[in-house]
Amino acid sequence: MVSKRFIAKRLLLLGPVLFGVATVVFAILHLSPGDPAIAIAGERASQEFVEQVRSDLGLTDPLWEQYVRFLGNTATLDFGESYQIRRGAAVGDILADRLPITIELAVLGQIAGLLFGLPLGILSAVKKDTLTDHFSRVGALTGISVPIYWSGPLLILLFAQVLGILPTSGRIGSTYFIDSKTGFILIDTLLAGNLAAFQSAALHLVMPVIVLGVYSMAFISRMMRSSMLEVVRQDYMRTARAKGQGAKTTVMKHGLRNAFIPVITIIGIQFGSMLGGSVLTETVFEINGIGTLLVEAINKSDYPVVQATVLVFAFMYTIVNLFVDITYSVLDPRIDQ
Amino acid sequence: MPSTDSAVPVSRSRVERIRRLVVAAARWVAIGAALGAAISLALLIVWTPRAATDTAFALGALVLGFGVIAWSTAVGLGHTIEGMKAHLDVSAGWTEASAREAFFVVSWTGAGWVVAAAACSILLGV
Repeated sequence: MVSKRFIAKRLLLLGPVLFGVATVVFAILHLSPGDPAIAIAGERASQEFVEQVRSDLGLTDPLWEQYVRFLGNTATLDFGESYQIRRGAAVGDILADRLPITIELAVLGQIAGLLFGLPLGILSAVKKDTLTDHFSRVGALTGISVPIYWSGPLLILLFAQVLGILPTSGRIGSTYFIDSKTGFILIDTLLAGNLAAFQSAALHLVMPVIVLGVYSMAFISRMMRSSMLEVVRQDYMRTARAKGQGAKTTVMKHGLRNAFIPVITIIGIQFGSMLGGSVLTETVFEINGIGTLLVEAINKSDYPVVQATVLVFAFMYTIVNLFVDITYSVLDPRIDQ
Repeated sequence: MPSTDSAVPVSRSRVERIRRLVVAAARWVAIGAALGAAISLALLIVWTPRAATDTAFALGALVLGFGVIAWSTAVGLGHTIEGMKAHLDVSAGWTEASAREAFFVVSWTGAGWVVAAAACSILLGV
């Protein structure tokens, strides 16, 4: 079992990581060009008005004072109010609206990647140097090489424009009005008992999930293949076969668990890429998740939203990696020693 | 009393280790403070006191933030990275301990830097 000390150490590291990320984001925002006061007041506003806005936002204080205030507020999970995106609204509320959208997309993309990547990798390793292996490797290489901003529009062109079987963009058809209870569109439509809306939401998710899933699948299948190839050469695998165990049982019972350990790392790293990739995917498919929020906030010099969004990304990435570490220890208790 | 005898050196070595860490941290904070003050004053030549101290502070915060993130990563994932490098047979002398030490230096230098830049800002009456 995973020791409490191990988990406590990882949780304690969360503090320095978030402090570091908050500090770097704060520094970069203040070193980069762009004045939020001008962005709010407008290019044609008088100097007095711009100064008034700057004073209202607390930007006239020395930077170290702003930094101390920012750290203090962040420690109490008070991210302040949005300058531009939804002027005056609490950043926490904006994030709460947008975050489930990105999580839903990333989780479904990861599930799709695992569902196809794992069997493909195992099959490729078991049938090494056959036609199946070659096809699988070419497929994986293609998946890794194709960028999201190219595959996304290509899928839209094929499935929405040419074949007309999938919607182009958005999260749900414009004729459906669903109360957002959880923020996850699939769950909300089911809770509303509206199956037609559920179907519409599911169809809207197909292309973004494919785009994210293919990338993940490609990495997972390649890692699974190489890991499995190494495991099948081990003595304990030969011993299991020599004792009369079938090839399939040996692979599934002894091989899979050991081959899965390096793949877990890739899954953790991939989830981080999914969050990063969501910026592009959401932009291409016009989904209002946290990725598009970040782009919009950077363009509008909305400091509180940028800072909070990056912190949320860092928090999620760290938590996912904590789970990865815990899974490691469960699969291979020696790691915990 | 074997248990008491063995506990004393352990406790002493821990105290000694903490003392060495504090001394090292203080040294790097001092170096960082000198850097922060020097950069704040150097920027005064071209910018207003406000812009000079703010820029020096932001640069110091960048160093501090980067150091802390990298140090945490070295502590949290150092052994995993070491294991993976050994597994892939691409080890080039990188160790968790050396990375931890290097980013300890960067972090404390950054901390001294931001403190000095803030102090300059106060002294210049910004």
